[in-house]
Formats: sequence, C-alpha cells, structure tokens
Amino acid sequence: MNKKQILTACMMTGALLAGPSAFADEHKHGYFSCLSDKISQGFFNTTTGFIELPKNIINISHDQNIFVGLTWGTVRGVAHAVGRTVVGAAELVTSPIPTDDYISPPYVWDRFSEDTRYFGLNLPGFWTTYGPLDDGD
Amino acid sequence: MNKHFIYLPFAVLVASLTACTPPTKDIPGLTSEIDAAMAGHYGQSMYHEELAEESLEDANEILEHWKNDHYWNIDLRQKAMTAAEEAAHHRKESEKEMCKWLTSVHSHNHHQGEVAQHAAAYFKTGSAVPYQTNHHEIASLGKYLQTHPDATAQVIAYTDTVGSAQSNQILSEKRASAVANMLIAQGASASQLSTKAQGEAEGPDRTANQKHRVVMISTAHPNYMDCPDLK
Repeated sequence: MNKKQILTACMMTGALLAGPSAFADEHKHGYFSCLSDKISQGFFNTTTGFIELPKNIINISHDQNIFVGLTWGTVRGVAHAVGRTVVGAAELVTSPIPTDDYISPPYVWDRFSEDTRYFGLNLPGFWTTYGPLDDGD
Repeated sequence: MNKHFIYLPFAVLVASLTACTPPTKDIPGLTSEIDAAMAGHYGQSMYHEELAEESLEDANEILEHWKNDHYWNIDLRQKAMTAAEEAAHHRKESEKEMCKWLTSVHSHNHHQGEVAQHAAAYFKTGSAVPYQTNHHEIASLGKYLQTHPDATAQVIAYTDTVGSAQSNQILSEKRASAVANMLIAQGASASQLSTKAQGEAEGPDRTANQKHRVVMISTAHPNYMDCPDLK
C-alpha cells in the first residue's frame, strides 16, 4: 500500500468518524467534541467548498436578478469557494487546538441563505433576502 | 371482426376516461364549513389565538437568529417588529372575544332585578360631614360604576328626628350630595347616580338615633359583562 492510499484511507476514516458530529447538538462541549467538530468541518469544508459557487449565484439571482447572479454571484462564489476550502484545510491542520469556529455557517449546506463569514468578517456585496432554498426555518 | 375485439378496447377507453375525471370541488360548501368553525365569539377567539401563535413563532424565530447571530446579512427588524405587534394585537382580540363569550355564558346566571344596598356613611346630629365613611365600599362601587356604564346607583340620605323637618330635609340633601361626590371622585359618572333626600326617618320626634343618620347606596345592574376593563 503506497503513501497515497494510506492518506486516503486516513481521510475517509476521519470523515466517517467525524461525520455524525456535523448533525449533532451544537451545544456540546469538551476537547474531543471540539476535535471531532473541527475535523468534520475541515473535511467537509475542504471537499464541499465549491458549493459556495452555486450558493452565491442562486441567492444573488433571487435577491437581484439572473444577470447579477451569474456575474457578481460567480465572482463572490469563486472567492467564497476558495475561502471555504482554504479555511477547511486550516481547520484540519489546527484540529488538535480547540478554537471557535473559523467560518460561519460551519458547513456550506447550513443556513443556505446566510452569507459566509470568516472569523466574523464578510465579503462585500452580499444579498439581503432569504434565498429560494432556505427561508430561515 | 369478433365483437369482443371492439368491446374490450372500448371498455378500457371508458374506464380510462372515467379515471381521468377530475375530483369534484365544493368551494361554497367548504367555505361555509370554515366560516362555521370560526363563527361566534369562541370561534373568533380561537382564530385570533391561532394567528397570535403564528406571529409569535415568527418573532421568536427571528429573536433566536439574532441571539445566535444567524442570517446576519438579512434585515429582519421590520418583519420581527411587525410579527410581534401582530401577535400582541391578535392576543388582545382573542382575549376580547373570549370575554364576550364568557359574558354570554355567565349572563344567564345574572339576577337582573336584584338590587344591592350598602351603608356608605354615618353622620353626627346636624352634620353633613360624615364621621365614619365606608371608604372601601365607596371605592369599589365607584370603580364598579366606572367599568359598568350600564349600571346605576341611588344614593339615599336620612336624618334622625332632632330638629325641624325642613332643616332635616335640607340636611339630608347635603348628605346625599356629599356621598354622591365621593362616588364621582372614585370614577362613577354623574349620569349613573340619582340622589334621594329622604329627610327624617320614621320614629319618635326629637330622638337622636345613629341608625337614622346614614346614607345608603342602592345599585342596580341590568346587564352582565365579563372583563369590563378590557377595551
């Protein structure tokens, strides 16, 4: 078994172990809980960061119009996709160190109408209404 | 051609067309059933209560978003305030309708012809200023008259037989007026009050009697009303 296969196996095992915590109670505490949350968020943000692209296009199209969505939404979507992927990698690397979430919403599918923020900071040009896939419930 | 080969496809066609018939709608019938469910004070109370619950749920949901800093990019202030105001409005309407329903339920037990009598004040001989006043009774009667505009009260003043009948008549008028003013000060309307100066009470002449130096209040309330304070 070469190094690449070992790395892939480790990543998959980590994701499988950490996956359930993505859907668990947000209020639980403790080192191992924080560790598994960061591994889970790191894994999923690294692998699903590209979903920021359709998210921004959909939400901005709904908020403005399809032309703005396809242009400005694409620009923001790419920026957010890169941002979420990089932050996901950072979460994986720093997973043994307990910290607050680097990114909000923690997963790209969470609160789909909420514009992504990093360390509490947002990109300019966000939308201001609920999108078609999430009405805030 | 065998007739079965004609009948069979025909039967299938008829069955298919029957299956394609859209389900019947009875909009007037359903509307009337919905109206019946919301009819009356109780139905309206439940209807407003349900709307209040929905609005309250919206307001609480936004409150949760704000507390958790979720959906920071969406301006929810106007929606939140509107939802909270609508919740309060519908809750109030629900309460009013519930009170009307309670009134309709309770009014059957109300004794319309019943008159209640209360001793309001006692006086010394020759005085129109009470030395002993039932403040609690006057306050509660004044408040009652204020909140029940259809209720009325009669203030009846007496004197003992000390002094001339004419002076006692004038004295009883002053006593009645004094107690009527106390009721007005507590919230009663002048139009709800009638005063009656009875003059000297029955009894032997020139006899001081504390029981006769009194002002009585009689109240009558023809209609019953729950929650009179609810406007």
